[in-house]
Amino acid sequence: MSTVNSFALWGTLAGIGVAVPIIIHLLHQRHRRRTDWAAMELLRKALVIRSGQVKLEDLLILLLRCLVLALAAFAMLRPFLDSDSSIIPGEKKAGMVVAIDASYSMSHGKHAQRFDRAKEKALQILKNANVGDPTTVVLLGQKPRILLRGVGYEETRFNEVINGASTLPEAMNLDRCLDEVAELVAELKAPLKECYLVTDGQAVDWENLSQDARASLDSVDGEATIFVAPIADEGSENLSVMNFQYASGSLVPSGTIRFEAEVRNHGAQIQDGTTAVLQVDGQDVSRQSVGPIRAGESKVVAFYTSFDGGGDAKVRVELSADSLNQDNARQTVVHVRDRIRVLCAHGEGPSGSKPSEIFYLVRALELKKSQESTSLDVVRADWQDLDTEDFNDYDVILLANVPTIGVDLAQRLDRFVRKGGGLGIYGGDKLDLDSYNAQLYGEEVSLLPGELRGMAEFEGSGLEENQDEASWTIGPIQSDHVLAKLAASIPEEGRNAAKIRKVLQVKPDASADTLLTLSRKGLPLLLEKRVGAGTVLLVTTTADRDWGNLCVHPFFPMMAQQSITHFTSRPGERTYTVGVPGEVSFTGLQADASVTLAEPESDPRGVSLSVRDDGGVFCSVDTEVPGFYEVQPEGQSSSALAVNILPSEADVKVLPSDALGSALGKPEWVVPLDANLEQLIKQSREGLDISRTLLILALVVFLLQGFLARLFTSRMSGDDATDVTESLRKQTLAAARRTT
Amino acid sequence: MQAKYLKPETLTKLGPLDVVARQVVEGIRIGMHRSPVRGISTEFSAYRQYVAGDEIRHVDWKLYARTERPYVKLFDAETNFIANLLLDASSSMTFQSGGISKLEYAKFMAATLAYLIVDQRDSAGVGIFDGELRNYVEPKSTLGILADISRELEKVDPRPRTDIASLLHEFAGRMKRRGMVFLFSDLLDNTDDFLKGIGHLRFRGHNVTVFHILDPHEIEFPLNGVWRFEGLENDGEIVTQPARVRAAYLKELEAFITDVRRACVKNGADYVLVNTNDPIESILSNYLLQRTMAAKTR
Repeated sequence: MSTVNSFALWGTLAGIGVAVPIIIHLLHQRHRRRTDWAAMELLRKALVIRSGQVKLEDLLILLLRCLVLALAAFAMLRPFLDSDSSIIPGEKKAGMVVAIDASYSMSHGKHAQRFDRAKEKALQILKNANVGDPTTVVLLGQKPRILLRGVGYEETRFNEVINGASTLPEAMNLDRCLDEVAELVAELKAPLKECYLVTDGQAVDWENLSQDARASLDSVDGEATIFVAPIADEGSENLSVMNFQYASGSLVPSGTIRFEAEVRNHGAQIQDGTTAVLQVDGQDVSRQSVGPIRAGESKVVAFYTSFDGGGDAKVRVELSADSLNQDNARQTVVHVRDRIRVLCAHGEGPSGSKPSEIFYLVRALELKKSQESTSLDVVRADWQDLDTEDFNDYDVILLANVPTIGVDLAQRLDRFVRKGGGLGIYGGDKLDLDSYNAQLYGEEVSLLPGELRGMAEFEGSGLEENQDEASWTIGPIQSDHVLAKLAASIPEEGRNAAKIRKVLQVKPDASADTLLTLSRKGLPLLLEKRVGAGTVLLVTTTADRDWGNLCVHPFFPMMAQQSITHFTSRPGERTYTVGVPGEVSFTGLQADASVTLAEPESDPRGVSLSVRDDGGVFCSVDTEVPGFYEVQPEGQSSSALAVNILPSEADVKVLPSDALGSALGKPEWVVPLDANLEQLIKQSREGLDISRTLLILALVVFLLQGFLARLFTSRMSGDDATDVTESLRKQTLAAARRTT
Repeated sequence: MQAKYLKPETLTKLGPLDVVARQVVEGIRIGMHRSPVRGISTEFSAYRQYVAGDEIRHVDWKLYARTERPYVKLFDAETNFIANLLLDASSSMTFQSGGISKLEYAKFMAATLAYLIVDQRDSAGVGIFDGELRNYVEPKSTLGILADISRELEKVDPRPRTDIASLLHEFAGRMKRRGMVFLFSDLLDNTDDFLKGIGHLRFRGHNVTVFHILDPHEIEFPLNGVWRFEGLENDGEIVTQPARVRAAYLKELEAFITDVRRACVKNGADYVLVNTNDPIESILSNYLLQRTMAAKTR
């Protein structure tokens, strides 16, 4: 026999409970009243007759009362007989946790969705529950959604809840969900526990279970009988947009922007005839045929577009319908700036015969004869004139070979970056590294992506035929940063044409990203650090030809342009995954400002703003469904967020029952599709819950002691007393008559 | 009598009632009570066969003419009587559960009866006892005796241990002429000895009435919970749950009262069970009514 509830807890309570009548009895004995009494002899005679009987009655009543409490406490322990063969009456009660896979892959199916079949199976399982059995129904997705928790089973209610359930726009997170299921099983108060996992058995989720997931399943197995019930599927043909993002281009009016959508064929057959549509702010702007995609392969579809005005642009790509539509669309948000103001500060002093240090940089930014350059205002300034510049007039500040940084300048730059500005720092011979480290890499101001540790110059073998060969090139690209990808988009041969002989040596900060490195030594070439709402980029070589030819390499203007876009627009930054809390920051807005939030599939509503520790104001957004979320402060332009589903769930291939069993390491858990589930459940249930029997017994004993207590004290009723007195009077009267 | 034991309203209620002796008492003054000395009264009593020595004038000659046998006519004589009111002042009489103790109740009854007796020109006296006779007021028929009785009743100082039997024996010897004895007691003493005392009084021809005075709690025993009972006459203490022994107690009480009552009846004594919860006038009225009815049915 085992118990459902804690023996320590209920055993202690039972002990206390049994002690209560004894304590009351003892206290009752102590709290006695006194009285004078004349008829002591009569009382003594009565006691001689009754005392033994009274003690026996008292003991019996006391024992019965203790027994009532002991039985009740024992019933609270929920004792459970492990075998059915006992003669003790009991009930076959089972607690059930029915977990239904509701990840979006369960929406797959042209004729009937997998989720509909899962709901049918869940209802079939629940038919084996007895009315009142504690039952939990939970949907599994990125996190579990508990529909009913430990509720006494009631067919109508459960049918209603399950039939009303729908899939979630989420991928399955088995680790998290199984952990929660284990807790739900553990908290069930039932002698017999059963855990049902109704799923499509998707290979990406179940094939390689993590240690955490296995540990959760083992935990469930320790307490309950596990049934993994796979459901029938209609194959695994599916096309999905795995990725959609801004690729390149200046995010200014009339700038040409490239977006890329990665379309993948998860099925077993070649797919052709699919079209992809690009939408901007809800309007179709481009349509392309995806073309044939072989099984298991991906294809990148590029879209080019431009924007007429500034502000947030909501861009979406959508494939034509297939068996699973939830993964056919993705969206992103890009911010288009009307004008971008750039301050280029240099430390060259009076210009000599050779081109200025920022000559190439300005050229790269202005791009003569380009319409895009009309949106870019580039202002040149000597570093000594920086004190006279108002940084609020600029979006980006570029420092090229600026010798020293004063305290005041450092603080102004820090404020500028934290408010959202972009700061680019280029190396050069004039840099006073100690000044940079002291002012820009301290505790108060920390803008540099790392500590500057001197200059590194290429040390070749000496056999190089020309100067270009005695240089580093851009090393292997590992970062997926937009600037890194830009470099990666250049063929390696062309990329290697960029020669760099000398760089600043930097020890990258933990909070910094190294975007590009040099060949051989792996010295950082391009580093990024986020500070407040702004960004700092450090180019460890010069912006002119002193330390190499990077400034005349085609990559340089691309990098310069793209970095300006990156500084000012940060494309892709406001793209989230479903379930990840989104955030929209505002500058110049009070915390109590009136803000409206428009969410997909719901009406706009007012929301309140939050304040960060640094005083920044932001709007927090719950991203429960994919689509665009738009935050509109009163009197200001709106800011948008794009929310997408996790693409990993789009691979809808499922494991056959035997493979699922193998993956679980417990084939006996898996209920084959053709198995009689009801029969299996009945066979698995063994044992009896005798708590109700004990409660009934406790009630019977309680009534018995009440009856006996009443019987034992019934002699004190008022009727008896009247009878005695009256009989004495009558006898007296009768005697008086006889004597006459 | 302005003593505290004679409440005017109580006496008003008793006023129309006569104290009627059930048996013949001997008296000095001729009154309304029957005398065992036949011939003084004109009220015919009975016939008896003539025996030598009887006065010839008492022979009923008409009856002799019809029966040819001499019969003597007997006449009842009406006379005054002497009443002794005996009050048990032992500690057990001090018990009270409500507003009045048994002793106080007995004092009221004794005083009331004394007034009634003296008011009809009979003689009343009071004896107060516990283990022995403590005070005794000789019976007199003057109104002044009532003041004496009241004063003695007020002086009562209860003491432990009752010995009613010895007192009754003493009184049986002390009363030279046959009279009435009223005993007020809870009788919580040796019952056998007490009954012998009653028998002694009756043997001497006295008319005895026993007022058995009990408290309502002694009669009904209605206590709940755990109680410690402390004896009033140095007879220890008992801790018990009254409710659990109530039935047995009441059975014992009933047996005790029945024994006392039967013994009284057997010895020709009147027995009155008194609950101190009942009004005194009610008890006395009932008692006197019963005596009157009994006298008329003779």
